[in-house]
Amino acid sequence: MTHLDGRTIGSKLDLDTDVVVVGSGPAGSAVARRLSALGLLVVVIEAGQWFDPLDYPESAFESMARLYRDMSASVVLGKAPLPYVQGKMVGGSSPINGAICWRMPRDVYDEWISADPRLAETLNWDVLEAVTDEIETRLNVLPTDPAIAGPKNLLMAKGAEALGIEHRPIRRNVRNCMGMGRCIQGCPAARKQSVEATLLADALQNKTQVLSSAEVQQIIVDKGRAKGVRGRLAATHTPFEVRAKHAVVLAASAVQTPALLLHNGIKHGPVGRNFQCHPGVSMAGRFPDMVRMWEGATQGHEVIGLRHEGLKFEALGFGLGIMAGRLNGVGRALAEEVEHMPYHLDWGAAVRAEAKGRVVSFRGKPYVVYQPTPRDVHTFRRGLRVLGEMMLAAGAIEVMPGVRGVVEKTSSLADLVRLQDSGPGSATAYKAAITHMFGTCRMGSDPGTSVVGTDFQHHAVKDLFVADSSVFPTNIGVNPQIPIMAIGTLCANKIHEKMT
Amino acid sequence: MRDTLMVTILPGSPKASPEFWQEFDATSPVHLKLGFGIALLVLGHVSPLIFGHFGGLASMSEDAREHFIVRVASAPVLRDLVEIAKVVACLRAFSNTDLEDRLRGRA
Repeated sequence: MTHLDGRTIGSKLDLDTDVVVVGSGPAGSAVARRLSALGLLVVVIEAGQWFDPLDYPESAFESMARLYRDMSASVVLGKAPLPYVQGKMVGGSSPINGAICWRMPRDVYDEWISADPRLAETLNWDVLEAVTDEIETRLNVLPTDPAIAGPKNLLMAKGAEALGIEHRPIRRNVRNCMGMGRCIQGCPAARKQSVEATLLADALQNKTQVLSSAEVQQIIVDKGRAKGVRGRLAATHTPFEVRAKHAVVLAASAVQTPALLLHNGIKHGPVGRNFQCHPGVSMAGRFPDMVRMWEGATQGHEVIGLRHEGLKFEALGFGLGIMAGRLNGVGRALAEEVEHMPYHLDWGAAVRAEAKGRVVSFRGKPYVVYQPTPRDVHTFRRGLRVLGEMMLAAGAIEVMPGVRGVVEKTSSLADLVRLQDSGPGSATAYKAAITHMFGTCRMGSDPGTSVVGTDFQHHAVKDLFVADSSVFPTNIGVNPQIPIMAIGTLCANKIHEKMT
Repeated sequence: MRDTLMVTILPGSPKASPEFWQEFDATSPVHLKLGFGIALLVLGHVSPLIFGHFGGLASMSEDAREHFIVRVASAPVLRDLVEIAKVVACLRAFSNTDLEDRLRGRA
């Protein structure tokens, strides 16, 4: 196993390899695993550190400060400055996500193929399914065990059942989960099967090298071909260069990947455009008995019966410092709410938003410009109504929508209906956050409307590939880590095919 | 002043952990530093002035600070600054493990 820790390297680093991968998240790890299994030498470069699970902090603040990009406080530019969350560590966001696993939805896949039939040349459904099966086996993806689900998840089941909406235990990539409820801060017991512990570990067994705490700044292009990357080691600013004989693969996320291309003047096609995501809203509720939301699987139950409306509901689990910030009021009212936190739950609704934004690069830093549409905001309201109804049906005394200009707390269905039908039309009234980002280097057969081809290779720069969710033509309405790994694997297959 | 603002927003919150402000200053992105800085200036100094408290938030009694923060939390523009400060206040409060231990029943 070779891990080069950029924090400890004091002199210029030069590496030669077959393939260099920028980013060690789900896509990058999947690419490295596949290519290394096919006998190629791979170097994976990661801007963040490699953390030992024992070092994962319990405190929400400490985890935000150490494990997340920009202290988890990145915001989009727009009328509503919605935060978006990305991990910055080996494994990308997978060590600090909710471990939620979904296969690629067939209806979304069909949309993609219908819009661009040639995508099926690479994204063959049967092959995608087979790759997904193998990944899910490797990551031990299984439904959440009711024994460690905890009240917040079991009550969601109760609420959804009462409303007659399809629901189920979330399928999660964990092994022997203890229900510590610390997925978002990183599992200190190493029960989450995130990619650095699985796919990347497999790659390391096949001679892959990981260079961590290293920021890629330059893509080396010579006569129209990608030849490698250059950058600086994060702690010491010492330069490094990694030269790749066969391919440079960008897998740095739908925000960082297009920004890197733009920063390097590789502006072909709609790079940075078509930014799509899943903005989410949440509803807090107070229950008559202690529900202790920090116990049990962080996110163990989901409600999927309204996916056709672009809504997916999940139990949420935050560190208490974050949860407290979502409670109503200030001053003594807030202090009282904090004292009642053992009786509070928070559930979320992720929206398959129709809005499209843009990633731009300024002085090497990415900025996301994005604004939910009026229809997206209507879906926020619909989601909040359903969340509130489910909570009341599950036994909540009152629910708190957290929407400006609307009742602070209510136990009345009429208030929730009013929120849906005539709540604020501006996204600024809602406490929303963005998870899952896509589309900014979309793949396609038409070079005029895509950044990479159906083979994941950049239309204008040979041997330059993109493997992360930026190649997805659209958002997908469900948690994307498994589809990202599967499609990343198909990208690796294409790279290998090109060589042979 | 910032601790005064923090305990005004969340009264009774324990002292921050020794590393909290250091880590906050070192790791928070520019826009958060700027937003929080503006919140501190406006909520800690400028707005209290408008309410007749020339010494700022720190010169006000506990009851006066309570009245002030509740009032500005619903005022246009100022409420956005209160939201930013509230997020930081809650993170600060839980940076001290005492509060979390007590709520979790571990104390």
